[in-house]
Amino acid sequence: MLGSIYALIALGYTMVYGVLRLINFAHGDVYMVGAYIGLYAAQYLHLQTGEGVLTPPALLLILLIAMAGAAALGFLIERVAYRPLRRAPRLTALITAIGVSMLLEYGGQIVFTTTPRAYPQLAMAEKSRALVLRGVRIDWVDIIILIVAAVLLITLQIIVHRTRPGKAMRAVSFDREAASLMGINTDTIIALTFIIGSAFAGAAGVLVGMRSQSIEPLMGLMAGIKAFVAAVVGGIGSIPGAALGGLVMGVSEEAVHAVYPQLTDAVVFGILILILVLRPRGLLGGPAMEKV
Amino acid sequence: MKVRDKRRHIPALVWLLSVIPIALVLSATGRYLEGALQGYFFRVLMLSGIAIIAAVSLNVVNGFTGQFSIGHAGFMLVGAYASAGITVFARPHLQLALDAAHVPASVQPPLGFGVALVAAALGAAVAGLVVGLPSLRLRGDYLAIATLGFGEAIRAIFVTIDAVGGASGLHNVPLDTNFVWVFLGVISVIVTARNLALSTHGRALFAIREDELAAQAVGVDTFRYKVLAFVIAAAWAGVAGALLAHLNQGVDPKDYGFMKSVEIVVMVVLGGLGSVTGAVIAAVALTWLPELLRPVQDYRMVLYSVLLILLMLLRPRGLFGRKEFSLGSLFTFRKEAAPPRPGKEAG
Amino acid sequence: MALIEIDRCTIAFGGLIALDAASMAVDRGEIVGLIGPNGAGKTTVFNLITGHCRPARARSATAEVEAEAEEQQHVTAAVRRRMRVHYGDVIFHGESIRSCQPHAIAAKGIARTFQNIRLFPELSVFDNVRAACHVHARSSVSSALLRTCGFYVEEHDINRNAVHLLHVFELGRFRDELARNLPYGEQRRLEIARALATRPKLLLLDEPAAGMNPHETHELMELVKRVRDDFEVTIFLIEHDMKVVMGICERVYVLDYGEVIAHGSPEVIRNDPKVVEAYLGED
Repeated sequence: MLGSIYALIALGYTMVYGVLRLINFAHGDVYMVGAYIGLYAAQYLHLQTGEGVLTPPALLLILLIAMAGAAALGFLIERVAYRPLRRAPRLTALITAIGVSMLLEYGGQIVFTTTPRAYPQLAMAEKSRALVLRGVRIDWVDIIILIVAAVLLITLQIIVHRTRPGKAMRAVSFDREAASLMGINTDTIIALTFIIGSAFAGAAGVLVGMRSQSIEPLMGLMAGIKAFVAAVVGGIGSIPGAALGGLVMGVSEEAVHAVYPQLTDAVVFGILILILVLRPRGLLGGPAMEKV
Repeated sequence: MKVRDKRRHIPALVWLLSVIPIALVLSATGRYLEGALQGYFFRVLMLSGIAIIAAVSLNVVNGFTGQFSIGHAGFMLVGAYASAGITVFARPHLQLALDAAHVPASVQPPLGFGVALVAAALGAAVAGLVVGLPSLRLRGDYLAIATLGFGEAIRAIFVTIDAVGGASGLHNVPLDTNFVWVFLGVISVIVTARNLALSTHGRALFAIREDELAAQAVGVDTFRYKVLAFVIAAAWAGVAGALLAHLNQGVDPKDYGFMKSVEIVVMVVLGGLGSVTGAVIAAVALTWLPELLRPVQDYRMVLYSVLLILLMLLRPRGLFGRKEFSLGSLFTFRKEAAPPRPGKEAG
Repeated sequence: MALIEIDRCTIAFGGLIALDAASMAVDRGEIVGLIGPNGAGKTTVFNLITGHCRPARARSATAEVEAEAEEQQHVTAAVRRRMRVHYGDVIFHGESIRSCQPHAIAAKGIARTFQNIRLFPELSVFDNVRAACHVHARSSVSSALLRTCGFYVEEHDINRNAVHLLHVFELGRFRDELARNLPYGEQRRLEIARALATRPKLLLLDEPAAGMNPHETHELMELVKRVRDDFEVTIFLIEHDMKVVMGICERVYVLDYGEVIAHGSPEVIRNDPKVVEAYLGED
């Protein structure tokens, strides 16, 4: 559901913040680009059947392509725009991130045109064939989304906790200088962080495209902000936090939307403020104290 | 060693007495410019002035005090609604009050607008207090997130209030903004910022920016000063918002969202955090830039963003860096002796 | 009555006990030293005084309860019940400052320098000192914005005081230089000058001689004595350099693992076996 999408995108935010202390505003737009990559992949590889529908293996292929493309984009952004500013004042890097975000959005409007594009659907995903569990209708799409998200999250957990690069990532997020003194190539690790985060965002893009059946260049804006809030709510810098935050945001948004559609945005930011005032480190975040 | 500041200080009384002739000169200049320039150029000129007010005020928080506030547009929105509330809804009452006080009819509209501007400043200041008190306890990045959240929350809340137009905003706001008001606004915000910087209170703000712990150790009540800077900046943002609303003859919440906050932050950073001169120049430049790019309409925003990225990469500290105020202010004042001329090229 | 008294303060960070029911006192006009191996809790004492940490609750026992505990060789529940629970306290000028904010404590007259020099790097030397004069400024923000006469008078006073301080500390020629461009020794002097701009009654110096050669150290010692005499401040200093401690301190407290293990004149503590053991091989 919505929560898992937010979780996937939030992961990218939280990971980048963890290693760079940078709020990567462009992340939401990487998600958007991922969606488009998936679209073009489906079209040019003729993976759709006559009715514009995908089979599961085709979906998998598209996901992988989109993830790869998004990862490449993330890597590029980091290399070109963020790496030179490692030592610059933080506000400058923030502005650059915003600049990249704008570039992707407006560039996207030119390249992809502003009209929404129809997105290929998953075979089996027709509404008529939804599952019905105790009176609650669950679309196959949502299930697929959940499964994909879960797989990616578990993979990430394994990477971060069981592999050497993962350990290196955690080290860099604690103390970048110390990590480099210990022989960790921080540049590589940071690049890796961006790659993974962007790949996940790309996957999210494809999944959302499938679900809402259309995409447009500005979709990254709102989704990005909400996912960012999710990351903060869960504790920015904490990976399980991002997952939890995504869940919380997704659920609250759907709940509010059902009752007070007007207030959805206000509620989203209301939650943000509430968390910041009551528990700034987020639900699962670490301490935020300064040493004298 | 002689003490530096031994100049003759112009007593406040002289300032007061010169207000009337100055006002006359200004309004004459304003009418001339309005007539001489095409409506389009004039509008951009007004927009530059408003941008200067917003940027210089934000500079007090981000530049002087070193805090991360990226929700400034929210305060502009509060000011816009507050002032529009007066000029649209309270106009008849105001007229009655002014008539009763025997104020001549010709002076009434500007006086009414003056009241609206004061309301804007006060409303925004209160909003600044509400936002600042919880947010300024937070460290760096969290403060940024909080101000971002509040900025959007303010907008989201106003959108739900149908009495002021809901999502489509308030319409039929009178065109009260003119050269005089904008000019006065620009001059006063610059003078305020300068006076603040060249005072012991300004030094307290700089101390907080440099090293908050050490500032506390020398007796600066850091929280109180952060809130003070924040509220002052918010009040000015309110004025800017009011001027903008009365230029556009309406309040459209979409104009006062995160993108607007970002624009203002970019101006401050581009000019150099802490430099008033920089903020002014960057504000003017960044207001004219999208206009200059109009010929390439479609690619306008793309070029804008590319330019932004390039500028950050090439000069991360902004155009004027963190020029320490005691020297920079002299230049600031001399440069601003002449009113902003139209057709100013990108800095 | 002591100018400042630390009364059985306990400070713990998580499971680590930085100060263990430590008590100290400094009388007016003294120069008192605080020494101890690294990690003993010395800077924590300063942080306690300046309000950056608060003393926690601790249990304290009267002599008889202690004796009982020793007899039984451990603290039983019964004994523990009879131990009093109290909050440690920091008393300055007869007033408890335990729960005061750091800036309020500075306003009351306690100034400090830091182990890693904390100047205002991008401000000039002059502004560094003027910023510290702010604490005694009485003019309001509006008077600054409107440039009233009162404002100009006060600015004049601040400038005069700052200039005087720079002169005393021989920093006059660096006046408009950025603080971060100063050579190390001058930076240390500037930090002390800035601290004195707040007109303190008590000055805390955290390792003022760190990184100095013998000549500079000697100059520093002279400076500290002059500061005490000319500015009428009481000085409490942390140091590792024994020459400084022996040379100018009238009394010394020795801290180890958060406890005061010895206290007295420099000669006395130099020969104290506990102190020697604590330092074992150091200095």
